[in-house]
Amino acid sequence: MYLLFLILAGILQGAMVSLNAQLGNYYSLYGVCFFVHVIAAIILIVYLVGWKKTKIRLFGVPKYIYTVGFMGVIIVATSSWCTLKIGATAMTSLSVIGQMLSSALIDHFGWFGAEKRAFSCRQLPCYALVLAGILLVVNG
Amino acid sequence: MIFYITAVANGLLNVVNKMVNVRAGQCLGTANGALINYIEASIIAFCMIFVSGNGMELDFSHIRQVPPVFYLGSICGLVAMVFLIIGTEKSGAMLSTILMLVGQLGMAVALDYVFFGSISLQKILGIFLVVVGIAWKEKMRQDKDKQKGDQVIE
Repeated sequence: MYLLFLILAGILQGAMVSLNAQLGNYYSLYGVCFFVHVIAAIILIVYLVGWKKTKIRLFGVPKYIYTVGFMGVIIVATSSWCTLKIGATAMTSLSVIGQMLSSALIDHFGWFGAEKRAFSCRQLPCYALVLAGILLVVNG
Repeated sequence: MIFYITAVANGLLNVVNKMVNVRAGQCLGTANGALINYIEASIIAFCMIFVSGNGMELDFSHIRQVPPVFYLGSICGLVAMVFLIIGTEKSGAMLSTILMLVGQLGMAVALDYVFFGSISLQKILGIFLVVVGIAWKEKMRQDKDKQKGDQVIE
């Protein structure tokens, strides 16, 4: 049952990327970002105030945390832009390469308080396999 | 080429964003942490719409022209986050990463077929290789963690 939740989570994320890209046919990239984030913000506020009956807290966190909004705008804008131009499959696959690279860097240096895990050359065949798969997707 | 580089950069930033979001969740709770992201991004995007001279797209008549289903992307994202939290708690990081990727790429192929009319055996083979590569890497990581754990016990 829990495995189904995870596959569904992936399906919904894939749907999110494609639906946001379709919004790009009607709005500028910033327009897409605005609607994507404002709808989610309204739902969360209703959940917190209306359902959980808790106070909204946005302050009292380290300053660098406030960069999430900028990153959110850049991520949604670039993913919508790329999906419209190269398709959802290529966009998602290439993004996986970026995610693997940054995860390896964060693990290797122990950034953001993550446990240090040194990069090993034994992992290279895994990266090569992913890269080969992505080349097939992009040229397919 | 610029789209391919941007897509990779998008993935790079995605992980950094996730790490900062996790930290925000640790400080304020998951929902409040996520809310910082959504409120801040809404304000920035709202300002940028006007700075870039596209203010007319917030006109109600324009908003109504868009098929309502296209506004459901963010709701999909929120439900996905809830499913991910529930699923990862019970199955562990490795299985959750692989299954999420299978669902995400499978959906991307299906939607590319719906919106662009394109599907190919080569793409499906490519997705298979991506999933095998990630699964292999996760397995190595898990084995390494297990070895470390065993050494600590000894």
